[in-house]
Amino acid sequence: MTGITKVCIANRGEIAARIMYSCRSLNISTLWPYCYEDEKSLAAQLADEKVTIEKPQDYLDITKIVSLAQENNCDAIHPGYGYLSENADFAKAVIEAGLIFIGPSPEAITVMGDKLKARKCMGEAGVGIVPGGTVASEVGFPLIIKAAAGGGGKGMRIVKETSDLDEALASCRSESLKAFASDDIYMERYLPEARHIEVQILADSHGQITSYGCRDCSLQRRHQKILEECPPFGYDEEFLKCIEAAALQVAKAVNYVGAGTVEFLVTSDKEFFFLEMNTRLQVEHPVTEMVYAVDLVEEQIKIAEGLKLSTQTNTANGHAFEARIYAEDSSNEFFPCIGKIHMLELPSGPGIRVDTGVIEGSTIGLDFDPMMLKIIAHGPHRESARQRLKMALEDFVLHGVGHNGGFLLDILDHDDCVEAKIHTSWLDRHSFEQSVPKDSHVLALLESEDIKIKGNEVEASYQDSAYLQGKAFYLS
Amino acid sequence: MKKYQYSHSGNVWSELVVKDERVSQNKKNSVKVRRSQNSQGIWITVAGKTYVFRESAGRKLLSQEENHLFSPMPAKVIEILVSQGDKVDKNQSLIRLEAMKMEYVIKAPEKGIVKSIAVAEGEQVGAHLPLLDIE
Repeated sequence: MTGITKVCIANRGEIAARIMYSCRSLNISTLWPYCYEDEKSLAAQLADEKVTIEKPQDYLDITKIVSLAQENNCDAIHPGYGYLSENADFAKAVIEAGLIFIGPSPEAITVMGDKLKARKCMGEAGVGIVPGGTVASEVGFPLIIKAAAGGGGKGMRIVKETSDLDEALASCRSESLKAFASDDIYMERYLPEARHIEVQILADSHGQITSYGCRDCSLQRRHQKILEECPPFGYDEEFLKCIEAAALQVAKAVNYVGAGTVEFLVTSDKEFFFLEMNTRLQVEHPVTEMVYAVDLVEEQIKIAEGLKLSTQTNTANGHAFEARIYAEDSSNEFFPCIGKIHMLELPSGPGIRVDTGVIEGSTIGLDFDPMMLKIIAHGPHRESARQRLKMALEDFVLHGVGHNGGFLLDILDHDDCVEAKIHTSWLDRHSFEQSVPKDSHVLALLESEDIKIKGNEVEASYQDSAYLQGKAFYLS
Repeated sequence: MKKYQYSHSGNVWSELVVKDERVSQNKKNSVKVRRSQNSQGIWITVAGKTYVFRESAGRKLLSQEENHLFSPMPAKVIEILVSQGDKVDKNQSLIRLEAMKMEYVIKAPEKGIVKSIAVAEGEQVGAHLPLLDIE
């Protein structure tokens, strides 16, 4: 057993801050290599020690990050998600430098990181995989092209017919090359009405392995998740147990150690296929933490220290939702938005948790991922969690950068969300009319001469107001 | 009567007219309302929905009628797929942009002829600037 005393956090944004909180609760100090662009962020306030790196790309610089951790007497590195988290070379470099990598072995990362190898390995282990390959005519249409080294939806293209194949292939290859330095691709049969169900796994170095239930992450735009929940709604417990068992089989097949997530696609006929395994912490891990009362980052650290899992009996309690707040324009094909946050009010209340990376004064530029923060709501049952998330989103204010808060509210109110009928291509088929800001409060605030405003506070129950004509959008 | 331009995060601004009429509304639960201002305009959030407004400055609005296609965000032009004088079909891919490590393809909103191209491959473009003109 090796006690960790100081962790270097090789990431930024909300996940850097999230990891710092767990370190602090374990009395472990933190070192954060960060660049100037991240000076105004929550992580910059929480880090015990900071060292500067030159530019945004340096978050991916293996040599630099490892030597900074060494020079500053860290004994471990936490990679978060994205960036270097699924880079086997990074894990190797960390271990070779005599530091602890808070994550799985480089071997497990390699197998799972190459989506083609992972498919082959799981096929051999007897886990159902989505039909696929590298020859379009054999896979059949519609199909989805994916980057073999990929993740986070980067490079993915759905192709409905042969004539669109070449353009999609070229664009997938070029995006993949930029994001992962590899233009290897593969194709899978596209399952349009499937739901994305995934299993949280924890395994220690003593051979103990356990799963923390399933999450439903079906609501996606551009193959990136926006809204997640735990547990998935509308399936019987027995079925979800089957998926959990398959996930454990996947993890065992690669002798997995650490926290990981096994993703499946579940068709409307309740057939499920292995999609991939993410060998890291997931963005949506808080919904599991809320339902199972577990701190997954703390567990990751303990596993890395060589300790045994604290419990193998995981009891679910209630339901949780997570809404990801992206700097993007939901009414304009989810294009990224940039700007400086000049007003930020985060929600609170029973069952509400906010994992943020941004603070008032933070600048959102084009160098980084557009996800700014996450709002998580937990309740005794699904409907209470949904209502709590709605309330939290209604109380959430972020000015200065366009975001999808209003859009998420519309989704939460949609019948298909209430009845848990959302599948992975649902958003492609449902467009939300840009709402006209006819709400009397908006008009009163706009035409404010007869309204008393004290600072930013406004009395919010008006009887009447002006009428707004024309089409308008909301910042969704 | 007052005129405003409305937009989301400074994208193409359209004009909107607020009339001096009054309508009554049923009283409902109180909701959170916030107003702030920056160089982009007035930001208003009502119960979690945010709008940005700015007063019309009297200048001509950029609109689809002029057939300009704009960059939706600051981005790098990776590839221009058409040339001046080309006939293009509706939804034909015209320009490939990249921002935040993602690719965006600008497509023709209607059938037409490429009148002019305002950008070059490899060029960095700001948000909401004209990319090309289709007639």
